[in-house]
Order: sequence, then C-alpha cells, then structure tokens
Amino acid sequence: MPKEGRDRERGAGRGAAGDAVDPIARWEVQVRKGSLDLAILASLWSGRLYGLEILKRIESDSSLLVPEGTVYPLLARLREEGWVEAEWVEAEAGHPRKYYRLTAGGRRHVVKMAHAWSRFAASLDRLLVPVRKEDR
Amino acid sequence: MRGDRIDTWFDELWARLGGLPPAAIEEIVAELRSHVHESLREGGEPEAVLARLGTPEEIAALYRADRSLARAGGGRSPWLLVTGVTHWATVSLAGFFALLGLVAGLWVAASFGIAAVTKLFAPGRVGLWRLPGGEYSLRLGLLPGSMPEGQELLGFWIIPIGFAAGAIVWWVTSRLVRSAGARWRRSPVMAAERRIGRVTTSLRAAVRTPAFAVVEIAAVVALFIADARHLVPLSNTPFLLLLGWASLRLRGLRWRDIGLTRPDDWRRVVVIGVVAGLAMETFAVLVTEPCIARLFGHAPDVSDFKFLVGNLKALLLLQILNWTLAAFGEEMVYRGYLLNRVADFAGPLGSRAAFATALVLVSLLFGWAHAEGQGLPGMAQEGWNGLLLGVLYLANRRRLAVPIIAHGVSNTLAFVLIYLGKYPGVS
Repeated sequence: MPKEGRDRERGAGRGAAGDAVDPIARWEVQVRKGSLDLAILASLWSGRLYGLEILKRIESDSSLLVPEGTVYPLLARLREEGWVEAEWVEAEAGHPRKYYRLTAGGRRHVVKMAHAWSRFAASLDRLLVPVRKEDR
Repeated sequence: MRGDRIDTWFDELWARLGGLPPAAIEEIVAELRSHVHESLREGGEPEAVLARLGTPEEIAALYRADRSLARAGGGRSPWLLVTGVTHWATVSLAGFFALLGLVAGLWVAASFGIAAVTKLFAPGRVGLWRLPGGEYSLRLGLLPGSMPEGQELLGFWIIPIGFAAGAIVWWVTSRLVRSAGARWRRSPVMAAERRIGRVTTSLRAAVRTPAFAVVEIAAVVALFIADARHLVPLSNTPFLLLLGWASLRLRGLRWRDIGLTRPDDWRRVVVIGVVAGLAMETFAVLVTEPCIARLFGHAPDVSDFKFLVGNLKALLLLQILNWTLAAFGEEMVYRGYLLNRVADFAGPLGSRAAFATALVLVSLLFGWAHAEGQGLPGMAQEGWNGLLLGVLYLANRRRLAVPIIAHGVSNTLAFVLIYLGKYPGVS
C-alpha cells in the first residue's frame, strides 16, 4: 500500500498554524508577500549586503517577516533579471559570504517601484478615508 | 549530532536540485551553507535554523520552478516547455491547470500530425467523410473500428492541412502557457514560501478528504464515459495517465512508488515478461476464447483487425501504439494508478482483501474499456487478461516492468497471428 506518510507534515504544521491566526493577520501576511521584491531591493539601497543581513535589515526597518528560505530563490531571480549582482567574499568567520548589490538598472527599477508603491498607497488611503472616519 | 542533521538536510537539498546545472547546484548549496553557518555562529540551534529555512523539498521546488520556467520561456523546445510547466505544476495550482491545458493542446496538435502521417501509410484510415445522411465525420482510425461509409472529401490534402492545423494548435497552446508562466514568475506570489507551502499543504490536506475521493472517482468515470461516447480522440489512456500523475503528486507520491522502476535484474524480468506474455496469448487463443465463444455464443469479434492481414506497414505502426499506449500507458494507468488507488479506498477491508477487490474491479474496468469493437465476449477476454496482468503485478512485488513486457508481448503475438491470417476469426 503506498505510504501516505511520505507526505511531509512539517509544511502542514506551519500552514495549519497560520490558518489558526485571525483573518487580519492572514491578510497582512499576503500583503507583505506582495511587497517582498521591493523590500529586498530597497534594503540594498545603501550598499551591499549578504543574505542574512538582508533578512535582518528588512525585519528591523519594517515589520515584514520574510520566510528565510524564499529570499535566496528570489535573489537568484532578481539577479537573473539584472536588478542585482552578486560576489563571493571571504569572511573573517572563515566561510565565504555571497554579497548582493543593486545594479544601475536595479537602482532605477527600485525608484520606479517605490513611486508605484506610493501611488498605490495614496490611492488606497483615499479609498479608506470614509472607513477611518467611521472608526473614530 | 548537529553536523549530521545539517549534512542530511543538505544531502537532500542536493538530491532535490538534481536536473539543474551542476554549477548552479553548487552555488545554491554554498550560499545556503553560508547562511546556516552564519545563523549557527549567532547562537541559533540547528533544528530552529533549518526549520526557519524550510524543507529541502520546498526550497528546491522554488529554484527548479523558476529556472525551468525561465528556460522554457526562452527556448522553443516543446520538451523544455513540458518539463518547465511540470515543475511549475508541483508548486502552484495555476501551474497544474496550465499543465492540463498544455497536455490537451499537445494531444490535439499531435492528433493532427498523426492524421497527416497516417494518410501516407493507410489512406483509408483517416479522412473527412460526408455520410449518406448529409452529416460529416472526421475520423482517424488507428485502432480497429470500421470507417464511415460515404464520400471522403479531403483526399491527400489532409496531409498539409493536418500538419498546418497541428502546428497552429501547438503554437497557440505554447504561447498561452508561456505567457501565463511569465506572468506567474513576475508575480510576487511566487516569492512567498508560506503561500506555496499553504497551497501545497492545503492541497495535500484536501486529498485526504472524502470529497477529493469523490471528485477523483467522478473524473475517472467521466473519462470512461467520454471514451465510450467517442468524445476523446484516440484513447482515454493519456488523460487517465495525467489524472493518475496528478493524484500521485498530490498525495506526495511518484510513479516509482507504484512500481515504475528500473529492474535490478533485466534479464530475469525480460524472460518472465516474454514467457508470461506468450503464455497469456497462447492460453487465450487455445482455451479462454473457445470457452467464451461457448458461453456467449460467439467469439470476441476481431473482424475490425482485418486491415492488418498481410499489411506489414500497419503491423509496424500498430507496434508503436502497442508498446507506448497499450503496454506502458495502460499498465501505468490500470495496474499502477487505478489498482493501487482502488486498494487505498478499500483499505478498511485489510491489505489482502483490499488488493483482491481492487484486482477484480480494475480488471472489469480494463475489460469494459476494450469492449468496443470486440463486443461482450471481447470484454470478458480482456477482463481476464487484465486479471492476469494484475496478478503478475502483485506477484512481482508491485513492480510494473513484468506486466508491461507481458502486455506488449501478448499483443504483439496476437497482431502477428492476425497479420499471418492465422488468428481465429480472422482469415
């Protein structure tokens, strides 16, 4: 009999835990995911960072919680699209680190994304004026 | 043993990334190792660090889906597109539906191409007929079955028309799928591991519900009914294969888990398969068919195979279909997917009883699927063959190699006998 136990339950555990949280938290998670590209590119604005630093920068400067495993495939895609470039650097720790920095095209791209984000947020704010008035 | 745990995690990641260029795999693994080292250096515990990263399966799926889609989007190769969309299908519902659409388009395009090629070898077996009643019938008769009466309208024009129609259908399908894939790749959804985890886990939770079982059974039944009503081109086996693949993947299984594996001992498997196949067909011709003839009043109707008599080209063409659609395709569907799935559903009966029930039910289904063209006696004969192939499967520790060979060989013997004009009922 094929083993159903081959299914990985770890993912189910995380998913199940997420589903147990209130609907607002769930929706916030979705909104955050939609801004991950922008968050990663923005975190590189001031200079080069390696993967773990990018995660920490995002978590400290914003309230975004980034699933660690997703950042690396995402960085690989951003690199393929030409928005970032990467280089391996020998660290004092003894193991090398892969640093990422924005390319010239990447800097222009993140500026455009930032404008688009502001427009989006402003539009949504206008829509929410009556909602906020009601809330007071 | 924290080193062991981490090494095991990376071994699995390495294995899961297989298929990507070796240099890319090394880079990915090196980067993630660096991340783990850094996290441990900051005081993290190995289990927690690995848990925050995710499972090797999930991470590898993200890398593979992205890369496959990128290559598929750039290249022209249909094979690249199919493998790219297959990877996409394993991480996203959108990818799954894209794969369905791609396979359907590929099947229709291939049918047009096959129609064009068939006209060269067996002109009478394909065409657009105007029936006596004024209706039209577009038929491709690769499998036994009478061809329509009336005037055939296209003649050899069906060759360029078939190739052109096939190319157009393929072009439209691949463009639609590539653009859908490109849109999905650009969307932030793809970057979200939890979302993908949620899709995968909610799908995997859903497959354990009775509702999913009902949907799956309904899909299988619908395919058989559609086939009986000639709504499916050529055969429902490819569609059942696709359904079987989806069912397996959603349950976290692969074809190798239901027996599609390389044999350890090729010689033994081939010998057993050939002997079993020859024995099955000989027994059928000498024993079961005469018994069935006595039971039903007439033998299985094989007159539709008359076109094979003395026709070497048709025999060779049929061998291609025999070994792909019949031997591989039907064994994967009936013994691989359906027999195990029915046994799953009958699980409460206990393992032996469940498989026995499954064996009987799937053999009946196998017989019914072959009933057209051969009548009720044909259904009985094929049902019996299905039973024997099922026994071969179960007796060989649920491996498909022997039933595949036996199925192919028994069909080959039957077709050769018909070709020579020696098969009972065909002269």
